[in-house]
Amino acid sequence: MSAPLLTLVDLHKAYEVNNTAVSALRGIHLSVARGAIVGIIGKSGAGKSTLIRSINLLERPTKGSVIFDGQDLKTLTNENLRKVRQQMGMIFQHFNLLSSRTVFQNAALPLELQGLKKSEITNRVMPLLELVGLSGRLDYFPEQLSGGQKQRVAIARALALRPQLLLCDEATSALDPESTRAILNLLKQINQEMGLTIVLITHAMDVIKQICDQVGVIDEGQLVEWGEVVEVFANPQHPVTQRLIGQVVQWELPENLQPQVRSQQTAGLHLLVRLTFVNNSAKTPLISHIHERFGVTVNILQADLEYIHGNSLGFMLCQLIGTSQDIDKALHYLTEHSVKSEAMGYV
Amino acid sequence: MSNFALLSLTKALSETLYMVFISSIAGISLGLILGIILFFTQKSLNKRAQWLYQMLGFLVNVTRSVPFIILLIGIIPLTSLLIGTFIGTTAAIVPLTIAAIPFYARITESALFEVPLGLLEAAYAMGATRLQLIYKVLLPEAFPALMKGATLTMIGLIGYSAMAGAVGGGGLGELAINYGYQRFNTMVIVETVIVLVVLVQILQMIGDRIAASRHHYALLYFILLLGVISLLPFFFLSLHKTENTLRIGVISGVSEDVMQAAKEVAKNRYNLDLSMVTFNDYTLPNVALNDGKIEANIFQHQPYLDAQIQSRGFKLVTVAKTFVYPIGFYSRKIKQITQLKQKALIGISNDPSNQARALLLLQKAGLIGLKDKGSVTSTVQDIINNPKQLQFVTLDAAQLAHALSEVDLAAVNNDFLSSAGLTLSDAIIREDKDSPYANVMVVASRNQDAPWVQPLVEVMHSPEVNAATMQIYSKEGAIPAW
Ligand SMILES: Nc1ncnc2c1ncn2[C@@H]1O[C@H](COP(=O)(O)OP(=O)(O)O)[C@@H](O)[C@H]1O
Ligand SMILES: [Mg+2]
Repeated sequence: MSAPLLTLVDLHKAYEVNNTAVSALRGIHLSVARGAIVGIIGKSGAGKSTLIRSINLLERPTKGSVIFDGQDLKTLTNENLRKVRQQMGMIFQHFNLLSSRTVFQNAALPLELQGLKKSEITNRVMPLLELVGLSGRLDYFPEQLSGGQKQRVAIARALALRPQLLLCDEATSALDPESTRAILNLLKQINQEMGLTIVLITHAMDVIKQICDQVGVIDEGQLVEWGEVVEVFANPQHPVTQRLIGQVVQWELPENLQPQVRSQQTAGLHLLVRLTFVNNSAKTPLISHIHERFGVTVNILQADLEYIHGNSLGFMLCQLIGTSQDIDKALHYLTEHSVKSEAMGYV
Repeated sequence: MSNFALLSLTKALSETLYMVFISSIAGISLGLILGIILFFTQKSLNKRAQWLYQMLGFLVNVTRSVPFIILLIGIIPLTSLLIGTFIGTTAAIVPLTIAAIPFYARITESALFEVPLGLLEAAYAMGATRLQLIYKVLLPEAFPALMKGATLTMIGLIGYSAMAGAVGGGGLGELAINYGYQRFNTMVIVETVIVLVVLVQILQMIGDRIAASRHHYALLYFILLLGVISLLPFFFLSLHKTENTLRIGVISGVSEDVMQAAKEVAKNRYNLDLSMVTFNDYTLPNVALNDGKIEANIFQHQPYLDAQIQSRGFKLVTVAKTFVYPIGFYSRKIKQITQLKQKALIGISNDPSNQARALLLLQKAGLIGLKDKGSVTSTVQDIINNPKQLQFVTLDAAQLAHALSEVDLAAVNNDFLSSAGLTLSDAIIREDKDSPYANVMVVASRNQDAPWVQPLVEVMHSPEVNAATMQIYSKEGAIPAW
């Protein structure tokens, strides 16, 4: 495997507020492979923006290093740092378009800064505006565009310098669900067609679920979880991750059920389990097998099936009704078929 | 409108446009730079440059709090250094510019402050330099606010330029004040105010138009170019001074009309070019003369000159008397001086110069006797002989006319006659040509024997100048003193 495009080593950032240091990042290690879409998620105030702004040194880390394409950015001169920044496009939650410029002129700005000729600017900007679906709006001003369209302009602008890396700071947080989906699809398309590496930060697990290959969870300035998206969804370790996943898949107990759950078994109560299916197991009729082979009745209280990058991911909350020996056998059978089961109590 | 009025109005308008336009361009450019520095040194963008921000901010605040007229006088050395003289329309550009800089700097700072910080971030993220950030992002984004501020600055400068009269700057404001206000010529006031209102309206309209336009740069360049092209000839003309030109300092207002006549006589009979430098302040004409910025001045009487020479050490001499603009004693109660009762109440000015002048006149009329026969420094305390036991009240010169209903007799300066509905012919006693208060023509001591002095005196004493003076002042309002 080739060297990662971006590596963050023991990144620390402390802000000085009223002469006291406020720690925003506390030792982040992270590697981003070329061509990957990496999502960083966390609660508000977790340090996401600080992290992504550290990548192009808009925010200077107090400690640690940012290695991009083999270069330690903190050692670069201003001149060279600006060259490196041209290798990284960036888009923002609030688009940050110039209100005084048209769609075309906004997308052309980075090229103008490079001093490119007018004809060459046109040659490079037009296909990009075509790509983002705005070639019919060249002379519109930002105020005449919807949020989604604005973000498309910003994407075209970010791509104008043909960067290797695209940084997205909450790029869809100000958009409605439909525009969000469209923008994410566009990013995915760019990633696939151009091989552009993307690092995005978000507070919405939806975004991660839709387009990311890897996800990192950041909490109080630390990376508390990291892995392939499907794996993290199937097997979240950190409570923050679990809560965030709860945003998008129904894998927690429904609220109306929670008060009824007992931790001890008494007469008339049945075991409550959560089953997590990944890929094939979701396609095998395991539930009917359990009934046929072990005489265990499965009473489904809640079920959710998600597809993440062509992987199916199912969550099921169910009561298992039968003798405890039969239930044990059934659970063993499920484990053999790579279905994770967690006992949640008795209902 | 008379031909002359129209002429002076157009002249004043072009002076105003010239002063305001050039100082706007200079002040706005420099203010923009200062404002950008202020913006980038503010706390949220640069913690380490706080000392610079504080220092510049303090400087800006100080300059902004100095009243313009004080600034105008205060920076005379700087003006002289930059322009070579501190008088005239061109020289007035310097203080106007200095006044505009801090004002526009603050406008710039707050206009840039309104640009979302995210745009700065986006620009840096795409690898922009600081300079690119300024001219590609900040200035275009803040353009509407900057343009509105520029309009505001220009309009403010029109107001300030009214005070440029103090250094011979001329302009509409000066015309309104000196011809209109001080001479109670309502017509002139109305005319100049209309021109000013129209001017401000046009400026505001153009400014708003440009601010709202998307093609701001093209428009701005266009307007700037037009302005510069139309004003450049004027600029060179004003710097140009021919060898034979004598610059005569006068107080703007009445005396300018006389100087117009003098100009013609000088040109036709002596081949001398006179140029009038108008002031509306009574100290600067002597300063300018002493510094060689003008060749002669005609605006003061001898006692005033003597006092100035004594206190400021000027090397100036009188070469001729011109006219006496007599003061007189007026009354609403008596018609002749013989009717004056015992212990009558007499109103005189409380300032030393006018008080002495009034007392000397009373002595001349035989009503009082002054110590040592009186002098231009006599005061009420110097009265040694007062057969009618006259009582004196001293008042502000401007109040004397209004006090006529309270006192039996009051000395009123010519300036305040018409506001009291009086003319000089109503005077019960008045000065004659022997008054020590005759106006004088003054030159620098080193020029006392210059070849142009005698011709200049002859010009001022010529029948034409005399006639012009007589026509302008009501009967006996000016008395030839030679
Ligand atoms: N410019 C700043 N000055 C001081 N503190 C800051 C600054 N930016 C962020 N912080 C603090 O750093 C922490 C992380 O902020 P941020 O990275 O913006 O979080 P997120 O983007 O995850 O919401 C927060 O506690 C925030 O208050
Ligand atoms: Mg954030």
